Amino acid sequence: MGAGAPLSEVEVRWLPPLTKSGGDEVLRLDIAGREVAMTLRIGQLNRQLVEGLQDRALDFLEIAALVYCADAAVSRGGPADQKMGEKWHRRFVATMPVRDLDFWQRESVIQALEETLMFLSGDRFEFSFSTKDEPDAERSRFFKFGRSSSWKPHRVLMFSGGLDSFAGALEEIVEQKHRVALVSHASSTKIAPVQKRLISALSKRYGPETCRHIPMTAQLKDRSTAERTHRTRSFLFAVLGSITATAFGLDRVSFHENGVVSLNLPPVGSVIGMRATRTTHPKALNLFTGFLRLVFENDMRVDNPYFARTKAEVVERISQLGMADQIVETRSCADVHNQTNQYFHCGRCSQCIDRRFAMLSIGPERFDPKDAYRVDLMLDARPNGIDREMALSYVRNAVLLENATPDALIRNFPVVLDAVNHLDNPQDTAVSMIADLLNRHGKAVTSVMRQTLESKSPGEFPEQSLPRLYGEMQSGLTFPAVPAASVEKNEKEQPPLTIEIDKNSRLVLIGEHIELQKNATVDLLIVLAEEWLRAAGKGLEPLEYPCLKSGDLVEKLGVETDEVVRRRILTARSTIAKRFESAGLSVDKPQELIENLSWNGYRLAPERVVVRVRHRS
Amino acid sequence: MGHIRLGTLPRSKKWREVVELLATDASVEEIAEAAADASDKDLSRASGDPRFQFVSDLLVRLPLLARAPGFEDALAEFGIHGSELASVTGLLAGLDRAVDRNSFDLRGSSDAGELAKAALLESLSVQMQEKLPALFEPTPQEIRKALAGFASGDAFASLARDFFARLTYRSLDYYLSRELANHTGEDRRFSTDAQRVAFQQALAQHTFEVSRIVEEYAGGWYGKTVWQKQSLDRDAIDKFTAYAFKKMRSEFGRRRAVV
Repeated sequence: MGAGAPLSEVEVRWLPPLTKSGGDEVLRLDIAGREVAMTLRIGQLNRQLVEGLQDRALDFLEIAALVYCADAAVSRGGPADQKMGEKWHRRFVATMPVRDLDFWQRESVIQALEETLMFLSGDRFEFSFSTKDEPDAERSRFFKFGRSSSWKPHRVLMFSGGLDSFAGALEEIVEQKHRVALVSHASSTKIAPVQKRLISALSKRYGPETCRHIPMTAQLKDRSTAERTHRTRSFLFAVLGSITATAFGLDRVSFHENGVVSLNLPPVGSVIGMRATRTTHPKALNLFTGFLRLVFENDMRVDNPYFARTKAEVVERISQLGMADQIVETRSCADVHNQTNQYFHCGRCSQCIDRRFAMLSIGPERFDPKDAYRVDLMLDARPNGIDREMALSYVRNAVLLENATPDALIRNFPVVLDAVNHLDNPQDTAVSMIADLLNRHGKAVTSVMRQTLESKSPGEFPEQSLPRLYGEMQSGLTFPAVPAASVEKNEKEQPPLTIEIDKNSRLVLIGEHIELQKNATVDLLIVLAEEWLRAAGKGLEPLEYPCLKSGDLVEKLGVETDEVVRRRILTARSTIAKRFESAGLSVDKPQELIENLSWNGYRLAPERVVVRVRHRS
Repeated sequence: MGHIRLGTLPRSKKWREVVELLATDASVEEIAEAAADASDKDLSRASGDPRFQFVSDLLVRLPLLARAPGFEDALAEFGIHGSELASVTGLLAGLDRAVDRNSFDLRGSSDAGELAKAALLESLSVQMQEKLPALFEPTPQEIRKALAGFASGDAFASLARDFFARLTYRSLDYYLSRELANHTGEDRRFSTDAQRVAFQQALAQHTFEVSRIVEEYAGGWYGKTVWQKQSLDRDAIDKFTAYAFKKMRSEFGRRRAVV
C-alpha cells in the first residue's frame, strides 16, 4: 500500500438467480469478473409467516446473502499478512437490485449498513441499488416451508449448538417459561445433527411446544470459497434472526455468548482488527440494533444476555438447570469439518481451549470426556507454532488478566474502548465491569493451571504439552509494557505575573521589574492585553480566552503583512526573555507569556498573567 | 463465535535472519535491530498511510486544540461529544471512534492505522494519568487542562517520545509475536513462557531507551514549527511523523553498532 493509495476494489454484481421456488434457489453473483453461486435455504417457517414479510425484509435477506458470499469468495491473503495485511482489508463495491428502492437509497440507511459491516468485518462495503424487476413468485425462493401451525414463540434465539447458546435456550425455557424459536446455521453437515439432537433433548424434557428449530444453510457452490474466516457470518445470522422475529411479530433477537468471547481481546500483538471476531461484541449488537430499527421501523433489538458471564459461569448454569448430561452433545470447536465420531473437538483452537478450561474449572469432567478432544489440553504435544501460541497466549493472558485493573486493561487492550459506549453504563463503570469479568475469567483459568501443576511439576509433563511449555505458575506478573516517558513536573505552579498597561504612555510593566516603553513590543503587548481584559470581563474560563488571528493583528498594529506580525511576536518574546534574564528573575519560560495557537492565533497565556490598566493618579 | 486468526512471519530473507537470531541466544538489541530492518519497508509505507497520518495528526493537534478556545466545538468536529470529557475513558473512547470514523471515510482500514490508534490511546491513557490528581475523579476542566499541558515544547517532546516508543514496540510485536511460540520449549530460546514474557519486557524497555532520540527531535521540531515559524499544517505533521518513526527504527542499528 503506497502513500495514500486506496485499497483495491472488488466489484460485486448481483446476477439474476436461476429461478426455482421452494427453497432450492441458487443465488449468483459476479465477483471481480468471476461467477460465484450460493445456496441459501431457511427451513420451518410456514408459508403464511413468509407471505407476511415486507419487501424490504426480503431485500435485506438478499443483501446479507451477497455480503456473506463476497466475504467467502475473496481471499484475505493468507497468514503471512504480506505488506502489513494489505489484502486482509478489502473493499467491495456492490450493485444490486432491490424491491424497496426508496428505502435502500436513503443515505442514513446505506451509511448504517456500511458502518455495521465495517465494524464486523474490517471490510469496506459500498452499495448502490437499483429497482428489481423480477416477479412476485420468487418471494418464497429461500424458504423450505414447515407445516402450517399457530405455534408462536416468546423469544427468538440464535442457536449454534455450542455451550453458550444451549445454556441460553435452557434458561429461557426453564426460568422464563418461554417458548423459543432457535435459529441455526449449519455450516457443515456435521453440525446440523448436533443442533437437532440438542433441541430434541429440550423438547423431550420440557415439552414439544417449548422450542422449534429454524435451520438455515448458506453455502457457496463449486469450491468457490476462497476465504474461511467468514467475518460477516453473524450479519447473516442477525438478519435471519430478525426476519424470523418479524415473521412471528416479535422485536427481539438474542445471541447468547459469554462476555470474554464476546469481547475477544487480541491474544498477541499480531492480532489486529478483525483477526479476532466481533460476532457478539456489544458495539456490533448495537450497530445491528440501530440498523434493524431502520429496516423494520419498530423497536427491534439484538442483544446478548450473557455478556456479564464467563464461560465457566455459563457451564455452571447448565448444571444448575439440570441438563449437564447434554454438555457432551454441545460443540464448541471451530474446526467442524475435521470432527469425527470419536473426536468432537480438535483441542487446538481457541474455542476448544476455552471450553476445556471452563469445564475443568467447574467440573464434573464426566460431562465433557477428555477423549472427545483430539489434543488433550494438558497432556498432548503442540508441535505446531500456531497451536502452541493459541494455548500459551490463552493461559498467559488469563494470568495477566486475573488482577488487571481497568487502567491496565485500557493500556494493554485499547480495543476495550470499542465496548465502553455500548453497555448501558457510564464509560468508567463499563470498563470496571469488563475488568471484573476478565478478573473472574483469569481466576477460573489460573485455578485450573495451579491445580494441574500441583499434581506434578512442569518438567514431568509430556514434551511440548501446555504445562511443560508454560512452566511454573507465576504470580505478580504484569503485561510487558513500555515505561512511561515522564515530563518534568513543575515543582510549584508559579503565580501569575501582573502585566500593567498604559496605552496613552505606550508603557507596559511586567511584574515589578520589567518596564517596556514606546516600541513595537509594547504596542503588541497592549493589543493582546486588551483582548485578555475583554475575556476576563466576560468571566470566561482561561483556556477559552480568544486569540487574535494574524490578520486581526495586522489591522490593529497598522502593519502590512502577516510576516511582519510573526516577526514582531518573535522579537517580543526574545525581548521579554532577555529582560527577565538580565533582571535575574527566575520565571519559567517568560517568552511563552505570548502564546500562539496554531489555527487560532495569538494571545497572552491566560493562566500565566493578570492584566491591569494603569490609572493615572 | 470467538475465532482468532493467528499469523506467521513473511518468508523474506530478512525475516528468516530474524528467525535464525531468535533460535540463538542473540541479544534483544540484535533481534530488535534485525526486526526493525526486516520491517523497514512496511513501516516506511505505513508512515504514508492516511489512517496512520490521521492518528499522528491527532497526537500533535489535540493538545493545541485543548489549549485553544472552542475545544468542545473542535471535539464535535471529530464526532466526540463534550460530555465525553467527563472522564479520561470517555475521551479515549471518543478518540477511538473518531479514528474509526476516519477509516470509514477513507473507505477502509489498515493494520498501520490500527497500530497507530492503539499506540495513541495507550500513550494518552498513561500520560494523562501522570498529570491528573491521583485520589479523586478528575473534572472535565482538569482533563482538558492535562491534555492542554502537552502543548509546549518539552511536554510535547515527552508525549511524542512516549507515542513513538509504544508505536515502535507494537509494530515490532506485530511481527515477532507470530514467531515467539516457535522458540518456546525444551532446548529452545525460551524454556518457559515466563522467559518469553521477559523477552518482550526487555524489548519494550529497549524500545523506550531508543526513543530518547525522538524526544530530542520532537522538542526541536515543535519549537521551530509551532513557536518560531508558526507554520504547523498537515504536511508538516506528516513529515515529522515519517521522520520520527524512521529515526526510531534506524536508531536500533546505530545503538547496536555503538554497543
